[in-house]
Amino acid sequence: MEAVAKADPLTLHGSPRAARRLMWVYVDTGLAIFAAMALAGLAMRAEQARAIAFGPDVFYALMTLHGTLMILAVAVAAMGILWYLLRTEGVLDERVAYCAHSLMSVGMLAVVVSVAVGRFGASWTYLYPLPFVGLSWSSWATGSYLIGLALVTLGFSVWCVQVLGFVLSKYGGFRGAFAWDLVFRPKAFAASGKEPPSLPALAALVVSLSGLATRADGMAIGVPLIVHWIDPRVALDPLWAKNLTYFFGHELANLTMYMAVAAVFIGLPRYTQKDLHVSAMWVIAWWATLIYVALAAFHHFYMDFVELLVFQYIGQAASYAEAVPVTVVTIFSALVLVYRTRMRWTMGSLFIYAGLIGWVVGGIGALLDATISNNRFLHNTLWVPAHFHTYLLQGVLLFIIGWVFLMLEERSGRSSPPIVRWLAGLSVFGGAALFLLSFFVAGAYGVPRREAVQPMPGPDIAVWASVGAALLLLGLLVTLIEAIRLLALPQDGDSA
Amino acid sequence: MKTSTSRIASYVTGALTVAVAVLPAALGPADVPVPQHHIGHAVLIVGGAITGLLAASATAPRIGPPAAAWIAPTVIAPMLAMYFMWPSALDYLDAHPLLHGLEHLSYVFFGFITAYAGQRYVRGVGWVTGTLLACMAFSAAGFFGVAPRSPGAAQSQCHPSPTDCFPR
Repeated sequence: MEAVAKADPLTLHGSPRAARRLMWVYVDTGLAIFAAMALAGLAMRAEQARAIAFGPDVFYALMTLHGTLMILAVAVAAMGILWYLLRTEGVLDERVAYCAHSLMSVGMLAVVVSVAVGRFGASWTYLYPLPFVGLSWSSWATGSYLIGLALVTLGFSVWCVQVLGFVLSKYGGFRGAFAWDLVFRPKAFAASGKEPPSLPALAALVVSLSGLATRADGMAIGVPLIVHWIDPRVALDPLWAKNLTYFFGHELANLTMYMAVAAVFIGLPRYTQKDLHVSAMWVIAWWATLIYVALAAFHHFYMDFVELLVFQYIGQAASYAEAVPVTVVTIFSALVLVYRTRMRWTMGSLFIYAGLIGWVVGGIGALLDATISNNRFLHNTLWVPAHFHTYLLQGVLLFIIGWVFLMLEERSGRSSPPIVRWLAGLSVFGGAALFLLSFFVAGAYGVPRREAVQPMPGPDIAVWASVGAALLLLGLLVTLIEAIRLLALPQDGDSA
Repeated sequence: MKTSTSRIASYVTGALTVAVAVLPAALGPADVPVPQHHIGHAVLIVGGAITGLLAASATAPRIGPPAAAWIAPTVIAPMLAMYFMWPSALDYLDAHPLLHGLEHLSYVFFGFITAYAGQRYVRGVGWVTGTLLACMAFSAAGFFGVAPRSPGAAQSQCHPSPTDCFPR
């Protein structure tokens, strides 16, 4: 076991103990749900590989549960981390954050009941009118699912309002929070002696604004769906419903990344002992992210021939543009941080750094699919889950686990021995590589997604995917045991 | 904008919006298509939200810690506004001008509360929540109770007894 070089402990405003407790509640909730849903995912791939057989009804119910809760699991964990990082800049009321957490938890429980008891299986996309015409679930299951999602959306919006309010009040309104003067009046800004928003604050600003837009979109489709459930006379336009639903899912999936990346901004400099300064380039990158992430949602319109053609152009252009702030600014800055430094390779730094790789690889997969000429072949194939599993599993999740280890390492003043790093690293990254590559290869072969029974070569490839998923879960188990071991170590005297 | 000016502007905007809202009660029964209804509601929400923003600029403190209690109305009011747009109730409301006027006043109220409470929480938040509520309301005109006759829409009518349409 190695002693870690000391970084200054994070200074928390208000009660540090209360802030840490809240962060752990969010992170533990997210990781616990993630673990359960990972098992559900393994079961689905094993079913597709014909290794086990529980039938299509159970498969689609599991797929609905897995798709809904996996994204919410990483979102909840990332929300806790970002909230905690903002507490290093000022006081946020824990009661509000607990209220958001409670609403989301009750909502997720309603989703679990809907699927586990009611066998709701219309997928997370709940595309109208499918939730209302399914033969394998009851009407109440549809209602429970929709109400559950409404509660999740409500909880998320409470969190977004709190975070947005914090950033606006700390940095003096939108002008200060967007660092307008840093970009357009740099000399005057420098002379004023003001501090630009921190990187977590910029992330929080963009995430909360996008989050509130996501919530508005979710409510714009969620309320009509609940109304239709209560009063079937109220019909909806399926195309509008689909567009709103996909914007909701697209934004939420992207926001998980931009929340979790705050852990990189704070975590990586602590391992490299180099500072990451906010520059005008960083600020512009976040402005661009706010715009492009929303516009890129139009790439979900490609296959709907009745949509306006201009949406398709916007979708492709914005999808490519969205990659620029990420790759040119975030990844490049991270590489510069690590280059020629005495990087401490611990479990924490390993996971955070590897998460950047997963983010890029998943992003490239998304870009290939967002290219219209490719989308003609890859649309609704396993290529789609391939790319989002890559950036969630090997991006967002690794940022979260990396942050957990950073906290544990700084708490105990110790890091993991090399054998554990190798064991966890090889199984997590190796298992994930096999698992994800199987998705990509099957997608390239045109194997359809969201199918319990796949055409060949889907089942053969699913065997390899199942092996990879099992190896990955084994690695995550090793990681969990190591985290518990670090947690059990006595607390280092002056660590955060 | 000076506090007194904001206050007067909020009174004027509020009075105008309320006057437009109660027009159905004065004009009597009407037969308005659902999309036009939604757009009318959205306009009332915008009027309410502008009134809320002006009222908040006259009353909300510029500095000080955020008052957490304002979060609840900020996030709940938009959801209630969407429920009040229940399309199958519109025919009944069209035939009952007084209720129709009250329904319209509720949109003004929800728009006002969403923006005002947001601003009271932290200045700037009300602009975001008010604008997004208006977007939600306008988007309803595209699909909420206005589905084209399509196979999907027809199937959806089978709820809650899908087996009536799809024999097992």
